Amino acid sequence: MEVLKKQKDFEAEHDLAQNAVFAFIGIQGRYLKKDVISGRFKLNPLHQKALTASQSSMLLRLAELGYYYDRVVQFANTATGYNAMGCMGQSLISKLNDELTLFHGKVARLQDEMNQFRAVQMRDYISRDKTWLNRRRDDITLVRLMGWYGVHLKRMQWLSKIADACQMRKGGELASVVYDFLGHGGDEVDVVAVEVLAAICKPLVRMISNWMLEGNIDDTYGEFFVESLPEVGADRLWHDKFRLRHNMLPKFFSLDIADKILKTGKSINFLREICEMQELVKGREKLKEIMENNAADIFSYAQDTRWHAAMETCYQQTSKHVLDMMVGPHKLLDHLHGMRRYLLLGQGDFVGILIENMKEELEKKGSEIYSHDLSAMLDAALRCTNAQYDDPEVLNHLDIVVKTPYPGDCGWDVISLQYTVQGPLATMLEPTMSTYKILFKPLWRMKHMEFLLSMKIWKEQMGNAKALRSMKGEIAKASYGLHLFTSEIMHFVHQMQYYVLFEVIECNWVDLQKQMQKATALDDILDAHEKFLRTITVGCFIKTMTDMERNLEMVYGNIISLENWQSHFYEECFKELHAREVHAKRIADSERAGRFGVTAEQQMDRDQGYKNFQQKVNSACRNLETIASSYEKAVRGFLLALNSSNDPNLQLFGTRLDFNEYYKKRDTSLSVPLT
Amino acid sequence: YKVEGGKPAPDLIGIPIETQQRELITELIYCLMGVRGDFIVPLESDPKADGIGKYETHFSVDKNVDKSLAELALEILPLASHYIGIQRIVSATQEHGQVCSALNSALEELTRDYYVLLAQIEQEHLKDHLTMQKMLYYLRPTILVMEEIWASLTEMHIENYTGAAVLTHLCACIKRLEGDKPSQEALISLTKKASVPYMRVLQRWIQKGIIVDRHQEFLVEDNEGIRCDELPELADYWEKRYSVRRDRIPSFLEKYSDKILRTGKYLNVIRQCGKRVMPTQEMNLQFDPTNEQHVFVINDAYYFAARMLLDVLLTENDLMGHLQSVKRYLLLNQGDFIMQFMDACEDELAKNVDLVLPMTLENLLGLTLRLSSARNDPYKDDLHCELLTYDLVTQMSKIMNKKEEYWQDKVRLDLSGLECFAFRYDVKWPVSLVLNHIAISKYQMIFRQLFYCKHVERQLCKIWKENAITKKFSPHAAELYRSAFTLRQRMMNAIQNLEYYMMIEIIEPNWHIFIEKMKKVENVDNVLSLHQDFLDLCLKNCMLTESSHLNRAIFKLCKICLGFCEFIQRSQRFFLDAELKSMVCDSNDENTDNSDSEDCSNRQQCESSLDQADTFGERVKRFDLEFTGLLISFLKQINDLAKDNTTDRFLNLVHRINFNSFYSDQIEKLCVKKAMG
Repeated sequence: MEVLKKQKDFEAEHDLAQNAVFAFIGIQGRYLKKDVISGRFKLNPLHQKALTASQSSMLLRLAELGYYYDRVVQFANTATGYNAMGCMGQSLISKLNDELTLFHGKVARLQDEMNQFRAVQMRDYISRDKTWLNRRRDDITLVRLMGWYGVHLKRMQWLSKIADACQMRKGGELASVVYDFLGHGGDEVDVVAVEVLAAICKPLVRMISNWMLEGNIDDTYGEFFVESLPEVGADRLWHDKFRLRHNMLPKFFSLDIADKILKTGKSINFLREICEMQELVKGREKLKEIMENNAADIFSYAQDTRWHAAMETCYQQTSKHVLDMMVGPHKLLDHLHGMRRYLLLGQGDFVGILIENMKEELEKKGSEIYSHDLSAMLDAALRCTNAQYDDPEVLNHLDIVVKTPYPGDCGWDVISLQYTVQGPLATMLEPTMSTYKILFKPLWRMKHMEFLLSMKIWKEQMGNAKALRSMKGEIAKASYGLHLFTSEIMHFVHQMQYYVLFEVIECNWVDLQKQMQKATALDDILDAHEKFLRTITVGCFIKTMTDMERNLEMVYGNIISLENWQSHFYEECFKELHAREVHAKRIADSERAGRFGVTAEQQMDRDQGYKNFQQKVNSACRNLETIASSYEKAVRGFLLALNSSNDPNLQLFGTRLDFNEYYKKRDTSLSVPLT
Repeated sequence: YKVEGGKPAPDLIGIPIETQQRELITELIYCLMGVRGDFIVPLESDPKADGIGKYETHFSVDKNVDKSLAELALEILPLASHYIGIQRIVSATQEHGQVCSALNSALEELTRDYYVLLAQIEQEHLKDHLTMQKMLYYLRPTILVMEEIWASLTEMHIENYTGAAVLTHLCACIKRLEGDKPSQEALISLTKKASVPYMRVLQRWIQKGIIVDRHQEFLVEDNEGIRCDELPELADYWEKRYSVRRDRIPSFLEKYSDKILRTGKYLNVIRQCGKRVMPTQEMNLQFDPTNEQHVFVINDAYYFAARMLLDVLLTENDLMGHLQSVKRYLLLNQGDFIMQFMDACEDELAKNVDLVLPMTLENLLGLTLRLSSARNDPYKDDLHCELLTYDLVTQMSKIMNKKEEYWQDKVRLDLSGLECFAFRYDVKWPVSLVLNHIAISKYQMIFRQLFYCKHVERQLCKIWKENAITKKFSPHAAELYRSAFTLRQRMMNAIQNLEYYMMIEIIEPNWHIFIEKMKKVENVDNVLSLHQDFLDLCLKNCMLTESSHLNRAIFKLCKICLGFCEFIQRSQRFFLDAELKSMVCDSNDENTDNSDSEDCSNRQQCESSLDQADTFGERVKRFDLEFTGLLISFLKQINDLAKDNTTDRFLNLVHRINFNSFYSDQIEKLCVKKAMG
């Protein structure tokens, strides 16, 4: 009887253990049922009676593992909709499935042990060996299960926790979420998180290596942090075609690294599509191997792993390649130099000759100019100056264009030089071309002023001085004022030219050249170039916030009106001179004829003419004064803006313009202390 | 937790004692796993219990159980109580940072061992080999160990330790258990495991210079946050960027916290210089409470980083060259440069500060730099001009006591450019680490004093040159000037000796010592402190510390000298005219006969000049008195100071100015007067 009870007890206990083991893998049994709502296990009320309190609480504890197992199964099943998405999500799921398989194996072994024991026991039972009751060894009891299940419970818990956080996420975002689980501190937890993250990052690493080495984006689910815009054409490949997708950037990538990755792939694409090159990176196989086999490296805290080193090598090689390509066969530097010389008027003799050649055209109305005439002049200018020794390839790019004239525009306003670039260069330099266009305008305008001053105003003054010597008395006042004013303007324009051409453009150009020599990647050059353009744009007073540009325009306007005034003035003078000569001749004629004298009418006429002339000279003087005063106002405004700017170079320029403090003495607002 | 089992508990009354024992053992095993049984019931914990009691559980054994068995059971039951307590603490500290998590996972491991032990006991029990005594025998060691662990944990939990404090606490517990080997070992293994994440963070910091510290547990704190890629500009970078959090240092790192902080700091600086930090050997940092292995690792890392940064600073960025260059300009080491510069800028600097154009100064400076022998200096372009808005004395008082705000309102009226002028030396990172703006402003203070004295000296020299013309005068007329000339000579003597003292006796030797020390320097903090010492010593010995009012005295002396110069120059013009005229007259006199009328006029002229000279003489006398008074009191002050403090070299200056005891009498007189008054 006692044996029977004992056996029954034993059977019951065995049944319990079996139940628990089933529960581990989410299977309901005699004592444990799943709660419909929470999914947790609870005791089957039908059989609860058969359990002692301690047994039942033990069972419940063990069944906890089953609950988490169920959760993981749920996340690992794509049909439930709770899972992560995309390639990286898939690798998460397959990682979870791996874990589950492993776990199944463990449980199966446990079950095996149990069955074995059972078989032994059955044999004993059949052989009626009563001693078995006393030979109970190695049985799986609830207590042993307690010892067994701890490790697995923790693992399952964390797996389900991670998977829970990953719901409905993909790509870099997914990686960032898992990354947050790192550094928990607990040993097992860290291991789990690292394993999961490594698994997730595998597709990412493949994508990166594919991108960095082949230039392909293989990204069906939109997970990669580099995206290519299909609607952007090849001509804007370098600047706009590819960009970062910031929300897909995993947390553990700094922007710096992401940028490098982006650039590498971009360079490869560029080389392949624009330059039509193959065979891009040396030792590609090896790099590829390193990059794909060290997935866990990419999220290491310190960025000095082999993966990072390989990435760095790849980046450097590729950018070197592109750089060599552009600087070598495509002569990027030469072209930049060419643009600096022709568009930014670095080549003085050429510009001088060109203007000289085009003198007439420039004076014409805008609508009467045809570009085919001009290109012949351009060629002539190129041929007869030092520019002829320049690389013909650079010269071929130089072109002269005529803009559609607005009414009232003259040649100066519509004619401009242009540098046309093609092929890879165009891809690189496209965005800067408009800046060059903008820059050319004030420089050209300055040349215009210089031309007006030297070729027109000064030349006329000098030429006419002698011719008009006889009228010195009458026009002395006007011409004296004129001379003074002219030299004042000349000083201004020369200083201005010196400042812009030398201090701004030349100095920055030297800097740029230094940087170009140092550059290790094409983007270094492009950035430096862009910076150069930005600096000189500011230096040439374009688009500054202050009213320098406006004042400068006023100064120029005054110069033009001075030119008009002067030609008008001299015209009057010569008219008068001519009238006098006629009069004198008439007197001389009459003298020769022996009539001596002119008629009173003629004399009156002459007197009237003389009076008119005097009036005109007076009014011309007044006009000159108005021009001068408005000029001075403009210059003062300009100086004030210069002095109040924070840039020491501008201040210095202001000091130089006003070197003898001429303006300062005349304007109190200029003498406000600077400190 | 309490789960109602459906099965009724077997009745214990009237069961033989063996059966009772069996039932009880089963129950006990369950109970030790924290499962509620039928005979052994945990008592409701006392809600009022505080401290350690909160984590204790008491059990009651069914009264029907045989008394002796119950006693035995009660012997074992504390283990269950401890187990439950530990479990509770583990679940309570789930999200308390890395260290706690690591500790928890170590504890879980311990629990698993404990389960295995229980499973073994159960096996034994199932084979009917177990009695209560045997069970107690098996469990006793565990009970003791568990008790200690439980006690330490409870204490930790009550104090709500996290992070480093946990480690500190565990170490303390280990110390306390020196005699109790088994428990100590258990705790040691716990501590080892718990310290793993902390040491991992530490290793990353001292090896790579990065902090990955999500739970804010690490002893070093990065105050900058996100801005780590930009180049730090400010001088306080070195001081403020990283700091040690005193409350987060585990006790075993207490002594090395400074070293740890600096190691990472060095590494960061090196990284910001664009160099890759590549440690030479693999580092394996683990904490073992029984030995000091970690100390060696930390030390190695420290020396490595220090060496490397020093190399970067000294060889790659040529710190010494920069220092030389600073000395050359700011401490007036390069004579021709400073002279040329003063020549060039004197006019500009003599203006009121509001009228001085900084651009002009900058231009002149550039010109001078390129014209003088300074043009061979590779760092000459780092030098710039600066116009401060206050004079030296104000600057001093501003630095020393910030309360004196009124200074700011008062001044800014009548400062000449000269008083406001200073050089600025801009250096790039990482040299700016040493030449930070504090150091530069100290240099500037010395510079301004020297510059001012130099200026005064130049003015005096100028008068001397102009005065040389009086040699042509008649001896009678020259008599008039004698007092003025002696005064001038005395002024010159004082100023020149002051300069000599500052430059030769103070700056040069200190500089020499500094350079000597720099040759043997080992790490950057040493460099910083040496440099600071050098500057402070110079400042102190140049009387630029506010404690003595000596610098004000110097300033006043200089002021008087300048006033005197100005006066002489003003009167010079008049007198020169007068004398020359009289000389012309004299020559006329010689040529013509000595007629009375002419003599008379001559005398009249003499009279008038004498008349002028009278006032001139008086004024010179006034200057003389004032100057002497100031000088004497200055010397006196130095004497007094030297009496208290013999280490300073002020006394040298007294000997120098008063080298032939010229002023001794007067000083004594003053002393006597003071003593009398």
